[in-house]
Order: sequence, then structure tokens, then C-alpha cells
Amino acid sequence: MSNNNKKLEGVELIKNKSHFLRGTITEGLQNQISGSLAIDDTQLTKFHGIYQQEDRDSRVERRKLKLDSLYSFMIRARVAGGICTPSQWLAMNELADIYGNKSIRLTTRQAFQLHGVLKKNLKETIAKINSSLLDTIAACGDVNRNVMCTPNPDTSIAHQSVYDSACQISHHLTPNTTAYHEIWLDKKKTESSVDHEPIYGKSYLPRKFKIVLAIPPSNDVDIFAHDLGFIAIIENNRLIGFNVTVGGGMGCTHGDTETFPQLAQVIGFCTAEQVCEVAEHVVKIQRDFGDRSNRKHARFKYTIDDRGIPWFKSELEQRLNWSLAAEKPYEFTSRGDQFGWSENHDKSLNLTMFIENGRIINNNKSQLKTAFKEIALLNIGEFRITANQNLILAKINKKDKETVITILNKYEVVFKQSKLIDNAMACVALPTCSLAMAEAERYLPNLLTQIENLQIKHSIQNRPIVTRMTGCPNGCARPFVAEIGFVGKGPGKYNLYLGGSFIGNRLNQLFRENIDESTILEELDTIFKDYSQNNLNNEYFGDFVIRKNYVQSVSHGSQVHSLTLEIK
Amino acid sequence: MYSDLNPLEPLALEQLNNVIQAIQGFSPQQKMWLSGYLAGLSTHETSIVSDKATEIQLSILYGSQTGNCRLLAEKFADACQSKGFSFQLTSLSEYKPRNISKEKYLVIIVSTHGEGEAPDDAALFYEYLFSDKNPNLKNLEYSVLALGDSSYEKYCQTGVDIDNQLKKLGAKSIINRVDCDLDYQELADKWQLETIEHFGNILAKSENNITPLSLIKPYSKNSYNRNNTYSSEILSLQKITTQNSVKNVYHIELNIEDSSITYQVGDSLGVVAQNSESKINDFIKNNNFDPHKLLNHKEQSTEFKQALMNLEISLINKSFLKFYADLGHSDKLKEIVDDHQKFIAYVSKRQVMDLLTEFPTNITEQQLIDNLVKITPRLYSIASSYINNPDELHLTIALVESSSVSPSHGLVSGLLCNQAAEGDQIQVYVEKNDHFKLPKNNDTPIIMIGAGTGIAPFRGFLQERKHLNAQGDNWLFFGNPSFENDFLYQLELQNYYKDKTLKRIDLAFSRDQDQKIYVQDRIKQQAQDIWQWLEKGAHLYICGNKDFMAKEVEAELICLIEKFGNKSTEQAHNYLKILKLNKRYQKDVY
Repeated sequence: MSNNNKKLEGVELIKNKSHFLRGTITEGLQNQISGSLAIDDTQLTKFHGIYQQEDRDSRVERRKLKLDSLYSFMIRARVAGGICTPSQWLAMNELADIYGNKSIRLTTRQAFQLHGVLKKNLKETIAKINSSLLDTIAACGDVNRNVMCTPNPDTSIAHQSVYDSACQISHHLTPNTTAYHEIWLDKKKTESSVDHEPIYGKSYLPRKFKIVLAIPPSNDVDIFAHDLGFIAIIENNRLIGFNVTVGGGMGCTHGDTETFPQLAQVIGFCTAEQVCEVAEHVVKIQRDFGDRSNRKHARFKYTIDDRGIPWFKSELEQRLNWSLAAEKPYEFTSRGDQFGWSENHDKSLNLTMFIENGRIINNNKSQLKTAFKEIALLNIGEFRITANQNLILAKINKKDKETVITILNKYEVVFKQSKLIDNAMACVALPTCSLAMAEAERYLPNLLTQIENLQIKHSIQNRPIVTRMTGCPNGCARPFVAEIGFVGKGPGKYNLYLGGSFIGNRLNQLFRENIDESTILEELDTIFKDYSQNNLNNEYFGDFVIRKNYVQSVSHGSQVHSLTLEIK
Repeated sequence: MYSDLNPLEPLALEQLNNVIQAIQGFSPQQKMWLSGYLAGLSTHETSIVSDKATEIQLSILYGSQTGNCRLLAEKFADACQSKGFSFQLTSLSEYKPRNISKEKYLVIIVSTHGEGEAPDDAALFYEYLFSDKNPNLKNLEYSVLALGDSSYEKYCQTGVDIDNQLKKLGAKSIINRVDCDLDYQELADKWQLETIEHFGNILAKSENNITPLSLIKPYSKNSYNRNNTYSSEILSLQKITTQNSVKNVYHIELNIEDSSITYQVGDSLGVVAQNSESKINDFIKNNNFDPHKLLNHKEQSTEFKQALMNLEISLINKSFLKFYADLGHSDKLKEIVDDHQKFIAYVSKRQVMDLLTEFPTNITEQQLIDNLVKITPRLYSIASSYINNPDELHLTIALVESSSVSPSHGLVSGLLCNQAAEGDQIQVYVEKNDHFKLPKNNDTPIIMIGAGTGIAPFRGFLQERKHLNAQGDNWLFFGNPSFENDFLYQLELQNYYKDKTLKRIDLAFSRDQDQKIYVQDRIKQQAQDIWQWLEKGAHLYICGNKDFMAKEVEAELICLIEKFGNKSTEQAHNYLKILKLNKRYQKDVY
């Protein structure tokens, strides 16, 4: 793929020449003739948490009108572990109204996204996010992204300690460059402030890097789908350390068998005090050994896959100058969120609420956004974003429960959902994401309703099935670890994957390629019928389709698309 | 002729030196023109053949979604370069689809995305090819490379469609189309090799056979005028504001290829409209006239309805009103005629038909056509440069809703923007405007200030200055209500900015923020720089609305001359007056 190489050198070159992520962003912001930034700079703004997007629905029509595409920007704010205060929630809410498209998107990485921000409003929006004590630096780009952590305080009495570790890692791996402060916050560069990136170096990482922390038995963060993971080991209500996982990742390219999703593997155990040191050295190994000549082969998972776990472990331990301990036993039982009210160890309450596709918006169904604004104005508890794009109002005093319920009722916020929808997730896709080949967020709810009808037809509506959809194979909604995964191929056409495990420790396999809605429903109808008649007591759907040979059990990412090879 | 000369050294050294000296400082375009000119002189005694300044032999077009086709096209172009072919490499998004009928040799590299859809870049080209325009392509030889992904049902469909349609339109495929899957490189290389081999035979031959180029048609006598109009075909009629815009602005391209029409940037185009069929029918029916009554009109026998086509029945003019008042012995009407204020108030809201209804008389068909005046042509600033494209003339026209201003204003814009269609003919002539001309010296900087359709002549200015490779700096001020919906010619202006034809651009979008911002506000912000440009000898142009924009801008100009030139108000006015006298300050306002 020599042509891709050409482009790849491009991104590496851009980073290298960017003068620590400055490029010509400032000049681009001043240019009034275009709503966009220079192409090279759009690579750099990702490191600042900003994606340039264009309205793809109107692109061709506008060209006819001799008008440039309608550009706007997606801004992603980092929220380590997904926890924010009511006042931070209010700040995002206000920015969405003034500069965004009047909605807030909760992401699969427990972060905030604002969509539709125009170039002329970028600077002010970013400045206001920062004054709310959130930031956007490294929310995207070839660096460590938002650090995820199981958000439910009722998971364990030791939750706070795990969350603290997440924040430490996040802080430790934040880029050092002062470019961000100069460009967005008008901080002048001083003579003495020399840019230096002790961890990343001036070309940063070869590709994005994702870190998560999970608190068993919940695998809500999909620990095996990320570059680096820490599984909290808690004994006697005290965090003693973490099992370390490496080498997971979702993204691949249609038709390119050199690319594949991969699951992370456990390589040992470290204490809570050692966690930043481990994270730093893992990142540095990827910095030094990751493939910078081919962006499609640049993720950490390929570094691990190409060289093997033994090599990696020895490289890591050599750099650490100490050895990881043997992994400790752990057990995961679920990935979904437990909806409704729950009680914490300190007797405070949490309310976990299903948010369709993570989109906080007022629409004809309910005034979701207004309701949360009003709750935030009470200034009680915390807002916690889950890895499934849902929301927890956490640590609420019992006395405030009725007030919260009254507000939710007032704005017709109803959370009665189904097992299928509760376990479903979709990425943003069309019309703003430039990678999308098919709809996801705008379409999944509709498809789910029809799948649910099939479940009802076969009386399996009480069986939870993890269902996920993305508009492209980069996998933002982690479709390759779903029991039913849909990955967009073209308008109205999806690849259908089956056989991921319920708890997320097995990849799925391509079952049907490039099929439309009616074919999807036909296929599922047949399998659901079989499932309803022949499942062994409480057998999960993902396990069933493997036992019945609809797909094979996948043990390595390269087998996810083995079907494609057979057809060719 | 050169038989007695060494074929490799046809010129003596001295002659050669003379030539080199003579063409020193010529732009590449000028050199290319000159080469054709000399070739023309050598083969014919006169020098008129083609009407294009340059002849591109091979066009390489690509439509790319992810960039692969672009890279392949660039590779193809590299190969052509090394073979010494004359070629042009263009993205389909930049390519004017109807130029395809002028191509002789064509290479298309195009991908397919989704379910057999053309990539965004190629969408308009694709649409044109399958439109009912049916361009005749029987002189075209081409080769198509199609990229796709065989896991899709409609594999390489866009390439397949284009190939089939080109054949259907008469073009000849020189080698079979090649369809490539994801691993396209090998097949693409093979296709490139074969295509170049084939074209190599033709293009190499034509090297020895330089096509002589024409002299540009001289700009002097325009045989057309308001009484002798040219019937020009509408090549393109495109709305260039979005649905959300408060304005309806159209870009119109007219065909003048076969006419003797020439013009200079800054000139206007007179458009002569006729009354619409439905309007005439209403007029006749309302007054129970006989549409077929034969009358004596301009010493010819004409049917009443026919005669009405070219007479002004929208706008009421004073002489007609006077005649009508006398005819009906109406004191009230006479009063209106005698008081200009009342007259203006009266006619601003009424058309001739309203007058006949309000004050009925026994007016005859003959009396009507004897007293109504001929429809006045409407003048529009030309929005293109003749030397840049002698085949076409472009206009930028805002559709004025007839109810919003006076009844007459919308006649021509309504005709052009609402009723006419591509392919229709309209009656036009060029109206010279000596008071809105680019500086004679191409090195002189210019400042252009325009709002709304006031951008029109400046589009021509920019085309012309780019074509001439003029070294003078160009600065544009432009204003309209919204960046998103009515930034007229945004894509073109972006290109001019990118290639430095436009040195500076300042924009005022009045409704994009709470506080309204107009071009005059931008003038104020940039006052010091404007003053510096004026002191450097810049020419200043204003085009657009007379009352709202031009007055305000002029006030700001006076301010900045006072402030930065250290002058009294009177001196500042004088300064501007002198600029005017020296033709350095020119206005085209309406």
C-alpha cells in the first residue's frame, strides 16, 4: 500500500514540524474567508481536542452554489474517570447552547463532546471549558486519550482509590507543550518556557493510545478493547493494586486483512503506587517501537502482536528495573450499567439513567437537557459519565431524591427501557464524522425497535444481548466485542458480526458482509428462533451462536474477518 | 522555407539574441501565446485559427473520495510530463463539465463509493454527463480507470457508468476500461502504461505540427446595441445563495462564442426583456382587448398581443400618465401628473394595468401601443473577464421580488432567475462603462469595495488580473448578510486568496452577530492600511447599492483621509476629488 505510506509520512512529518503542536493554527483562526483550518493543522488540532468536521449532507449542493463546505468543529473535553461537578455540567450545557448544536454528546470514553462549533467561536469555547476546570488537550490525537474508569461509586468502597489512580495517570501523561495555552488561552510564550516532552518526544506517539481502569465484577469499560488496562484488585475493601493488560484495540480497515481488532492480554500485577511508572514506560515502549511508517499498522496492538508478549514483558521490566508480580484472580460478570437507584456504602444514593446514544438533547420525547440543567442547578452530588454513554447522578443525599424525581417527571424523562436497548451503543457517524460510511446514531434506535420485535416474537426479550453499531470500522462504539456488532460499509449497508462474549473477553466474527436492513432482520429472525428453542440454560447469545456454528470462536484478531478470505 | 538552414539552428546567433531580448519579462502565458502567433504567421499570412490562448492536448481528470485516485492521477501526470506531453491535471470538482465537448484526448480516474455512487468530487460531472444536454463527443478519445471494492455489489460502478455514457455520446474508448479492487496498484500501472503508449503515438505526432493560435479578437467595435441585440444562449443558471439566505442571487453564464461581442471588465450588459405571456394575457383579459387586432406599429402591421410583448406595461411613465389623464379628462390624474411627489407615490405601487382599472376610459388598442414606451433594457455589471474566457459572459443577479420594490424592478431579474432556463435565448448587448476600468498599469494596487451583487465586476477584475499575471496587489472588501448562506463566489475567492491573486480580503457579514457589521465598518477598522495603499497609488473601486453602502463607505473614506492624511474635512473632499479626476476613484453604484 505505497499510497498510504505517502500519506502516513505526512502525519508524522506534520507532528514533527509542528513546533510542539502549534503549526499555523493561530493564523488559520484569523482567516475569515474559510470556515476551515489548513489541512495540516486539522491533524494538530486533534491534539488540542478539536476535530474539524463538515456537513456531508450539504457538501455537493454547496459546491454547486460556489460555496465552500459548511465546516464546524467537534470539541472533546476530557473528564478522567467520567466524573464532573454540577457546575462543570452547567458550563458544558451553556456552551452547547451558545456555540454548539444545543446538545451534549456523552462519549464511549466517558468524555463530553460539543458539536457544530464554528471556527470563529472556537477560541472562546475552549477558553470557557478551561475556566470550568475541564480541558480538551489530548482528548484526541496521537497521545494518551481520556483515561477511563468504572464510574459507579457503589461498585466498591475502594472506588475512590481506583479513581485517584486514573486521575494520576491522566495527569502524568498530559502533554507538556505550552502551545495549547498560547493558542487558546492567550498565555504568552516566555523566553524561559522551552517546550519539552519528556514522555512523548516531539513527534508524540505513532497513533492514539487508550488507557482504562476496571473494577470487577464490572467490565463496563471494556478493559480488553484498549491499549493499556488496569484491573483493580481489591482485598478487604482496600485497593492493593492492578492486573496489567496490554495490546487491545478496535480499529481496522474494510478489506485490509493486515488490520484487525485485538483483545488485550493480562501480563502481570503491579501495586497502586507503581501504576504511573508502568503506564509511562508502556507508553514510551510504544513511542520507540510503534510503526511510524504505516498509520494503519501503528497502534500499540500491532507492536505487541508483531513482537510478542515475552518480548514486551522483558522490555518493560528492563525499563522499570523491576518485575511485575503474577496476575491475581479476578472475575467479570457484566459490561452494562445497572439502571435505577442504588445505595453507596456511605448511604448516599445514585441514579443511573439510560441515555440514548449518549445524546443529551431536548426533543419531542422529553426535555432531557433542561432536566439535567435544573438538577445541576441544585448543586448536589456529581455527574458521572459511564463507558456505555449513560449518566449517573451520583452521591445524592436521600433527602434530595424526591426533588430529583420531581424534576425528571416534570420534563417527561422516562427511563423504562428494554434489555436490548440497555446494552446497546452507537457512535456519532453521519452527518458530521468524516470517517462514516453509514449511519449509526441516527439509525440504531430504529433498528433496535425492529430487532426487539423479533425478540418478542421468539419470547427472548428478557435475555440481555450486547448490541453495538458504528458507521465505520474504526470502532468508536467497540463493535468487535459486541454479541451482535454492526459496522457500516456504505449507505444502508452493514457488516454483521456475531459471537462476542457477554462480558467482553472474546472478539466476534464476521457473519454476513454488506447487508441491508431486511437481510439483517431475516438473519436474526432465523437465529433468534433457534436460540429460543435450543439455548442451554441461560446461555448467552454470543456463546450460543458459536456452539451452533453460526460463527467460529475467535482467539486472535486476524480471525475476525476470516470469512472475507473464504469468499474471495 | 527553412530548407537552406540547419534544422537545429534555424536562427543566426544575432537573431536569436534579438528574440531573447524581445521576450524578456514575458509571462509563460505570453510566451505560449507568442509561440502560437509566430506559428500562425508562418503557415498562413494571416493568423486566425483557434480561439483559445492555449491548447491543452490531454486532460487528466480524477474523482477521488479518499485520495487514491488523486495520487494515481498525479502519477499519470508525472509520466506525461516526462514524455513531454502537453496536459492538464484537474480534479473533477474543479472541472467545468460542459468543457468535455471541447476535449480531444481524455483520461479519467474515478472511484466508486457506497452503493455505486460517484465520489463527491465527481458528483456534478456525473450529473452533467447523464443530463439531457447530451454533449456530442464524437471527437473525443478516452481511457477510464475505475477504482472500487469488490465486496460491494456495484463494484466500480461510477467508472462503468462514465465509460458507457461516454461511448453513448459518441466518444471512442482507446483501450478497455480497467476495474481495480483494493489492491489496485499493479493493474493501475499496467493501464497507465498502455494508455500512455496509445496517446504517445498521437501526441508525439502533433509535436511537429504546432497548432497556430489566434490573436484575441480586437476590442473596439461592438456591433450590438439596445436596438440591435444579440440573442445569447443561457449556458448556466445557478442560484448561489442557500435556501436559508434572505437573498436570491443567481450566477448566469451566457454564450457569446459565435458572436462578435467583446467587452472589458467593468462594462455592463444590457438585457432586454419581454413581457411574459401570462402577464400579457392578464392585461388583455382585464380590459377586454382584442389580442389579435391588427394594428399599425412602427410602420408595420402587427397583432396587438405581439406588439405588447416589447412595451412597458409594468412601469407607468409620466408621458403616458399625462396622455391618459387627458384622454379620460380626469382632474385627479392631472393633479398627480403635475405634482412630482404625488406622481412618484402613485406609480411606485401601480402598474399600467392598475391604472386602467382604477380610471376606466375607452382607450383603444392602437392608442395604447402608440403611447406606451418600449421596455427599457436593464443593465448589469459583467462578472467575468473577456480575455480570460472569450466564449462566455457571466452575470451576478439578485432576484428582486416584484412586490418588494417598484413593480418594474423585477422584470429582467424575474425573467432571468424565475422563468428562463438553461438553453433559452436572451437578448443582450454590451454597454461600455469607461468610468469603471482597471488601472492601465498592471503593477498598480487596487482596493475593491462591494456589497451583495456589487461583487460582480470585481470577479471580472480578479479573473483578468490573474490571467495577465498582473503584479499589482488586490484587496477586496465584501459584505452580505451571512457567511454560511450568501458568501457569493466563496470557493473562487478562496482560490484567489490561496494563489495570492487576492492579497487581502475583509468580510462583513451583517447578521452573523448581534451587532450588525457592514463593509463600511471594515473600512473603518482597516483605515490606516487603506490610507497607506492610497499613498502607494492604489486605485479605489466601489460597486453596489448607492444609498446604503456607497454613501457610508465614502463617509468613512473621508474620515480616514482626514485622520491619517492630517487634513481638514474640506481638504479630504478635495483629495478624493483629485483621485476621481485621476480615475483612481471609480464607482459603479445603483
